[in-house]
Amino acid sequence: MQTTDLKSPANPFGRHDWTPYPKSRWGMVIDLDRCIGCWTCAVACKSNNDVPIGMWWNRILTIDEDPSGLDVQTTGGIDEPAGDYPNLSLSFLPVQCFHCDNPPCTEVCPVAATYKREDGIVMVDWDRCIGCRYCMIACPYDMRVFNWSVPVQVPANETDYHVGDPAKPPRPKGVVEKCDFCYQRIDDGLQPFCIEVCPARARVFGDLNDPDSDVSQLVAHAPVAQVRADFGTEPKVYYIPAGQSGGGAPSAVAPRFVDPERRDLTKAEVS
Amino acid sequence: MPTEQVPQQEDPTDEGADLLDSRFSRRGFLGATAAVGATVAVAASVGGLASGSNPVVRALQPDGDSAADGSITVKEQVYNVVCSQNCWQTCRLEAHVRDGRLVKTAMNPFPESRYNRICLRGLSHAQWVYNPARLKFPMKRVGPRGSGQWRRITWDEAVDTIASSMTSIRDRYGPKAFAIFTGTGNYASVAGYASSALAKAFGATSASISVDEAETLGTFQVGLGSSWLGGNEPLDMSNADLLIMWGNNLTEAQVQEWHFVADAKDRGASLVVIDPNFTTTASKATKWIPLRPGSDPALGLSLLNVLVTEKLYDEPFVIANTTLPFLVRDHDGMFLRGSGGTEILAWDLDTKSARPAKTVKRPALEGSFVVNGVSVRPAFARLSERVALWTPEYAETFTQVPPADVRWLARTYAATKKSFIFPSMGIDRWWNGDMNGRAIATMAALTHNFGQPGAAIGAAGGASAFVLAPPTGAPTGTAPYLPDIAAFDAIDTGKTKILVPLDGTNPANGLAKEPVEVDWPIKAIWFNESNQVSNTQQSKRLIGLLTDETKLELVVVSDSMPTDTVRYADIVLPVTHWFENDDVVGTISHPFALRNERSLPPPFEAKSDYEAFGLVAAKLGFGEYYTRSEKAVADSIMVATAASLGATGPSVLRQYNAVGAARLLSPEACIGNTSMTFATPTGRLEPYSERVLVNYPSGGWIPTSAGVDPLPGWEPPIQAWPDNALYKKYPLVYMTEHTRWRVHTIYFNQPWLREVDPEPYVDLSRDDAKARGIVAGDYVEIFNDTGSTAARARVTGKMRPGMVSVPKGWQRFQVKGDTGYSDPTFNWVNQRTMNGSWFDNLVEVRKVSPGSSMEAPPVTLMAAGAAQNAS
Ligand code: SF4
Ligand code: SF4
Ligand code: SF4
Repeated sequence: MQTTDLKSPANPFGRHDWTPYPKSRWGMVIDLDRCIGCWTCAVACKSNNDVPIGMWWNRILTIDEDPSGLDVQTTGGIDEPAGDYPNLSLSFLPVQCFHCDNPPCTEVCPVAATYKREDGIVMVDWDRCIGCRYCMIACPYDMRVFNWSVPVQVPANETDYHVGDPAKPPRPKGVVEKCDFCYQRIDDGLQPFCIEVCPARARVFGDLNDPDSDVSQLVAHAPVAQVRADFGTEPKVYYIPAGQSGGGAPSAVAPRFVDPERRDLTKAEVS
Repeated sequence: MPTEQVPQQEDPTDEGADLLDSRFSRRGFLGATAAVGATVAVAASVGGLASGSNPVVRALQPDGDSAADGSITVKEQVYNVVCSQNCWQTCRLEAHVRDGRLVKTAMNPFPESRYNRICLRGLSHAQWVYNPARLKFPMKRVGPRGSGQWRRITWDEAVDTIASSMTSIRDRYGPKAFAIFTGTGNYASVAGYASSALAKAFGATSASISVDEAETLGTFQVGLGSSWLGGNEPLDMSNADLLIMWGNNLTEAQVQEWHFVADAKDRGASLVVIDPNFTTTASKATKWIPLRPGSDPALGLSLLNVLVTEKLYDEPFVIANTTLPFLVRDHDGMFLRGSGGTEILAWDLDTKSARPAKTVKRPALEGSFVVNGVSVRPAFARLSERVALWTPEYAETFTQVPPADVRWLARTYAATKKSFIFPSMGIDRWWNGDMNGRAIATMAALTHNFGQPGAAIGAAGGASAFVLAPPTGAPTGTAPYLPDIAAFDAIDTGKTKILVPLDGTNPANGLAKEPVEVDWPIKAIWFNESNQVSNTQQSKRLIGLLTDETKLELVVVSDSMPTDTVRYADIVLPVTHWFENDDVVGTISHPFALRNERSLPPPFEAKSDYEAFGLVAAKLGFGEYYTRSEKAVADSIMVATAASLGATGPSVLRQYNAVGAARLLSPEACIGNTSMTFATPTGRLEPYSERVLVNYPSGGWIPTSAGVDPLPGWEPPIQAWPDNALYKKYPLVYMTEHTRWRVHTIYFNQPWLREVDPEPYVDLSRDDAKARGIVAGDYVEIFNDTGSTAARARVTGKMRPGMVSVPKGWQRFQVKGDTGYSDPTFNWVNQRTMNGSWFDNLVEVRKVSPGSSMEAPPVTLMAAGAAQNAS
């Protein structure tokens, strides 16, 4: 056993635009060749952020493969392959707020409750949110969820107990929520929680402004795509489409990622 | 659940349920959301979990210190714990504790980061630890058995009841009449010691599940690894150039092993997946080879046909290291021995005479000879004669695999120096599962595709579970063992069948082929962390035995959750979750011993397995085995383990003591079968065996002269095969697959998982659904003459037409009609393998008709409710 100190904002519900890495632009790359649709990242998100029952900040879509990139259309249910037996394909798309560089959601908020930090993280201030849900309509990716009623958590929230990070306490009824890249972990120098759990080592996080970071290297060298780039939102979550590795040909992913150590799950710090 | 069938949910409180079906289509990306089934409703109904929530919003931790900038420092205790069940991934986790309560589980780094691991289930432990349905107090049954009516009692009363029943049964029937059933509900070593020490000291029958045995028996027969025994360590899969997943959906069932495969693919390796259905793993394949369910041995034989007829085998290797050059007597199939009776002979092509095989440089592999009047042939000739029939074209009539694919695979396998076959349980759960194992291991034996980095059968090399030693002071000897399917006979009739020594005295000289019925009454049972009712085929048979109160005088169940098995208990004992006691854990999925620290207080009156068995043992006079603390026993296990490791022992122990995780075997030692001495009767690889291994009931061999097959061969599935006339009535093969949502039956009641996977579904192919007028979302009945169960239909391209699948692990109270997924399966006993043929079933499927018992909603958490009532 060891004891760790977690830094938690005085008011987790309020505005958190201070960032220790103001020059950074956080981004994520998800390798769909590796992703097995296991929902580990999704449940990790749920547990770390005390996301209420019935809501997901991070969820896994089953997509029909589209060779043109990620202009995806989901037609079937969860885990449903495209095609007819035995000519089938199956791909997953883990999604969460893309922390767009050009986010329509922040534009429409009448009270500036949703805002973009200097490091690019799109935040929601639960103290200011008035529940008008304009941002939910504005987000073209359906990434925001709303507390229609008093949020329910299991194990049940109590006066002095809730699961997950102290910075993510049970929120009131009537506010919007969504992925915030685990901003409190980033501020503490840690990666988002979903990154350090992915059994497939499909998720990579880092600073897009640092040309040598893993994410920058992947964006530069791997055949990455953004979801509906034509919306002009400039999502900061990139995907490497499936079908890029194996079968006698080395991975089309950036060469340094063929080194498995480079892919390892770690408690690596951001910088 | 199939989104297209679920009515649009208007209730705004169900907003979150939309999220599985967000669409990014060009048209209308904003709307068109359909809910994911009765997600919220189910989550709430399972144990009333959603009720009682207290929406108090709290910003500050009571023990937090406020800094000058207003931020607060919160203290969290982080413990080393282990996720300890039979997904066998055995992840080292962190338990994060604030104010004495678990707030989160997280990945806990191994000393080698490539083994770092956690999954969705491991992240949900807080929902198990604090589940309202957890068993809280010892209870005693008050209604009829199975009625779910108990009253709360003290531990003293429970222990007295169990101990006096054990004494009375021992006096009347002998100690064997008390059976201790262990499953895989707790993988940890002290917990294992807890039940086995009492079983040994008392002389109780030790019984366990009859699964996962057949394929391993087959590969072991040949002398190589299997799905869970031997081979190379999992990490080594990343060194392979060709990976063959045979009946192995590791992306769902052994999720932590997938990234090693992905690492190999990144280097350019090919992944071949052999599976009738388009699993998640198949979706990652460079080549998916679908085949008729249960036909795998025929595919294996056709691959062997290509290897032999195209001479793709490594001849010098085969001569030096296998039984194939040995001369076999035509009349009884036994090896020809020299005059002393010990040396096995081969035909020397140079001297044209039979000489001790190990001295012969150029043995005959083909031909027919007469030695001292005995007609003999080399074993290789017997093998090539056997496989000659199995041309890819002939095998196709069994497997429906195109011959070109078979030739391609055999040639690629032989030509690729680093070929790794990872067979798994999909081919094990069949009557002919051992034949699959023999064919697969023979492929490796012919090509020497093992014993090197990147080449093996199976990824359990270096398995730490088998390296961990018992603690000092453990009772010696072994408890009499019965696999569950044989134990059920013992409960039912007081007799069971066993194989007896051929010579009437010594089993080491071989067993007779025909089993003999012996008296083996079982009059009371203790199921420890073993959800047997849910984990046995044809569970209705076991339920019948349990509810017939004339058969068993006492049924004890110790568990942490109200499982299907708890329902039939006379005495219920609440035991701890893994995080609530000290232990040490090894596994077959990594070579580390892991410390499990007690990080939480046991809730209510829960006690650890060790305490529970210790209390009963003390009453019976065996208290001496339970005097130490759990931590002391765990430490003793590690000291004994270190001692058994020899020179590396001290450094292993140091690492364990320092960080709570220690690699037990070096990476080199985790490459299996490098020595060319094999754990077979001849010490060579045995594609041909004169001693055929059997598991009946607990291991031995039968000479091939008694009429058992010395070679890999074809045997049809016992039921699910087109020759069977029953196929006309029940044309669908029924399997119960393992999905990411549960481990066997564990995690059945985790709300986060049930949100996405809210109720049982059955996967049906589009053709089969259409033929029956079934559309996605219909409730259907899956039935045969043995039993039936109900589930919501998913109509999916994934399924091979002619097959249906219900994921394993739902508890009966979660299934319509109070049924179980194992009700339409069979409790057959295979004398060779002692293995449950879980997938070897035929069923029919129809829509649930209005008014039928299958329409009845699940029994409302009967067991859990009763458990709560007792509180
Ligand atoms: S944890 Fe990794 S593999 Fe699993 S769904 Fe998320 S991204 Fe995919
Ligand atoms: S994904 Fe949606 S919520 Fe997130 S930044 Fe972009 S527009 Fe806003
Ligand atoms: S359930 Fe299995 S894979 Fe998941 S965390 Fe536990 S041990 Fe690991």
